[in-house]
Amino acid sequence: MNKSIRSIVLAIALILPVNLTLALTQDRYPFPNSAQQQQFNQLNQELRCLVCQNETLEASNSPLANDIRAKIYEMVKQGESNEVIIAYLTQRYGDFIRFKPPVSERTLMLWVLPFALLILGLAAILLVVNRARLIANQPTSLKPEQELQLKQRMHELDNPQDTL
Amino acid sequence: MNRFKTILPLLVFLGLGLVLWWGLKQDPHRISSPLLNKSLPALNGESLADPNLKIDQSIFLNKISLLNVFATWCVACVDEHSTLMDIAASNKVQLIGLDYKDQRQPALQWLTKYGNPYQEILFDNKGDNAMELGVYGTPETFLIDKQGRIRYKQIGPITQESWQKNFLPLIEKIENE
Repeated sequence: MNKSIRSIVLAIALILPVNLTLALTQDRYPFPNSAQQQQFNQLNQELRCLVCQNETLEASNSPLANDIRAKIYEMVKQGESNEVIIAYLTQRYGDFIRFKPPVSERTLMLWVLPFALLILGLAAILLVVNRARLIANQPTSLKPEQELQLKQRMHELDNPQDTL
Repeated sequence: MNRFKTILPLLVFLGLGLVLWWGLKQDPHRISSPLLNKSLPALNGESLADPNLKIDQSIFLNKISLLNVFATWCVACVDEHSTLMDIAASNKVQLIGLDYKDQRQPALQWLTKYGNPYQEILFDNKGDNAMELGVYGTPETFLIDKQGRIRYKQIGPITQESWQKNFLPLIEKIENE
């Protein structure tokens, strides 16, 4: 009982800061409807801050992220679509601003390599397993005198008293 | 064949090591601009020295220019300033400044203190023009040809070395076009 209460309190404590920042951005960028609010939040999560490069625009506090957020806010309020807004930003800052870059000559490796490696790995596993199975199923082919020797040795092992 | 098989893991390791080593030497903060070899975007603002003087992208026409994005709050801009003074003295290019998210008075004082290498300065206190140019850090420097196309972009301070190595040959090439 005590334990479950504690974990609930902990969960709330962990969620609280997230809600707080969400509330803060909502206050700063008010929208007339929740669809635009959602579009704005989604764009801010999909786009990268170019200064602190592994942060989303939403998470970043850099002045540049602030300016870009303000621009997105303005465009969302004007009713621009995601495509138009993303095109506007990539024309200026390049594909780097997107966390999910489009497939192009430059990003081909990025998109294809994981799948190629996966297929290569699967093929390697299949090959190894197959070979092991082949070896296991191979009929033993001993020469007649080897066969005799084997039988003799096995008999010796089974009946140790005979050799004594 | 068998011998090849035994050294295969070593080869794979070396190949991977080479790629990763190359990756380590790349600077992720130098992002190539999508504006390269395109016309300069429309700029619109006022002169730093004279609020009544409007400036747009037409000041770049028929001249080879450097557009240098700077600010008084930018520490690295002080570092490159002496190089910019030298470039201005060499008279090879028209030097235009873009004062990025700055205040007018401190900027004018800063230029009196360190010297003014710029023929003209676009005062961009809100950063709107810089956004058109995809500026994400100061200093940044664009090389613009006579047709108003962006031919090169340097991120970070210009040094004598980068001026000699990256700018001068390209300027020569543009002059001969």
